[in-house]
Formats: sequence, C-alpha cells, structure tokens
Amino acid sequence: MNDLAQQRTTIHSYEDRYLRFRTKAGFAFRSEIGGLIPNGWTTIEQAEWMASVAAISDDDLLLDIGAGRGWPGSLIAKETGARLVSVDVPLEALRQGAKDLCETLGPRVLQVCGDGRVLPIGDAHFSAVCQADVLC
Amino acid sequence: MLRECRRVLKRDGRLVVVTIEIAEGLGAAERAQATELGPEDLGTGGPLRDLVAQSGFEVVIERDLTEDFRVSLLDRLNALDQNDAELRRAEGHEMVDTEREKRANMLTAVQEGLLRRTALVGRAW
Repeated sequence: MNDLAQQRTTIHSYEDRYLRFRTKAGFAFRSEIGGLIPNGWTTIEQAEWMASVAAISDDDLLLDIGAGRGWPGSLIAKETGARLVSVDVPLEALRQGAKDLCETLGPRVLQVCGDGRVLPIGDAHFSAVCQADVLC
Repeated sequence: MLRECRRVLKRDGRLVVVTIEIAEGLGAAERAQATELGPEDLGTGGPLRDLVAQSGFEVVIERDLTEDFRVSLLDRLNALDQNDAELRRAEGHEMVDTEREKRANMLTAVQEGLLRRTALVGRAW
C-alpha cells in the first residue's frame, strides 16, 4: 500500500469512529457515559484543569488539535473567553460537533479540516494549543 | 505534531496535552504487549515528557491521570453491560463485541501497569 492509500485508509478509520453508536440505543449509551466524558477520555474535571493551566483569557487564540466534535477545546474556550480554532481530519467529526460548538461559542469558534502534523496556519499565531489523546 | 504545535505557538505560549502512553521502564516484551492492548493510535516514540521537551518546550506541569482513566474504562464497560441487549439489537453484535474487547484490553493494560494516561503542560521557549 502506498503512502496516499495508507492515508486514505487511516482517514476512513477515523471517520468510522464517528459513525459508531449513532442509533437511538447508541446515543443513549453515549449520553450515559457522556455525563462525565462528553467525548474521548477527557473528563469535565480534566478539561476544567486544562482551562486553568492554559494561561489564556479574552482575545487570546486557542488551537485544539485532533479536536473531533470539539471537546475539550470548547470548554477551555468557554471558561477562558478565548477564541478557538478547532482542527481535525474527519469531516464527520467536525459536522457532528458544529452545532454544539456554535451554540457554546458563537462567532468565537472556527472549525478547520486539517492534519495536525501539517497545519495550514502561519507561525506564532496562537497563545495556547491543546490536544487530547492525539498521536504524538 | 508537537513540533508543529511549537511552530504555531507564540513564545511563552502554553501547550496543554493529555495522552495515553506506554508506561516507563518496561522491557521490549511488555512494550509490545502494551501496544497490542492499547488504543490503535498509541504513541510509541517515547515518554511524552521527553517528546515535549525535544520539541521546543519547557515542561512546567506533569500530572498522572492513570487512575481516572482506569475508572473511566470501568464506567464504559459498565455502561456497555447495562445497555447490552438494546445495543446488540440496534448496533449489531460485532460493534458491541469490538467495543467491549477494546475497553477490556485497555483496562487490563492499565491494571498491569503497561499503560498510563498523562497530562502535561509545556511553555514554548
């Protein structure tokens, strides 16, 4: 398998993750655990801690890499007042998170489809970067 | 990816990263077992602390979240159990079985000291 084919396979596997548990029963299962962990493995307490150590405030720009549906960047931006750029590869994840992100942050959020290894962003642009359970 | 984080950060900007990683001090066989039991995209490049430091950051805070992770895994397995019949009807046996196996494997790895979850804050210099 060449590099491009490998990349496509990887992207499809990421997309697939966001298509699991989309039935009514699946939503019920996800919402049951979602009380403490809205997405991924980062709990609300951990996201609040991330907000407290990010050292950002109003008008600062926060980048969330591998953001999926927008967690935990959305909470960090909400708690600190920062503007958020939420980046991930799977379009399905961005699509699923768009409504909640807009409701939570309004015009302070921008979603970008992109790979955290090659960001379509200039140098020295952000005051903080967060990432949760993204391959380092 | 961490070098890319450094590139887009202003000087003195903060990197706040949380990740599942292979526990330190393991032999080759244990590391292989951790990789097998861990998440598909488990990083194998070395301790997060070292990777962050090598990418242009001063590590200012490190926090071990492994116990929280163990509890989260147990919660998810319990939630699967409680919704098992309905999930199997709606999602199919394969999806439920795969989900359970992944979570159970990660729990085993955590309990055996093969995986940890780490939070780390770096300051861009």
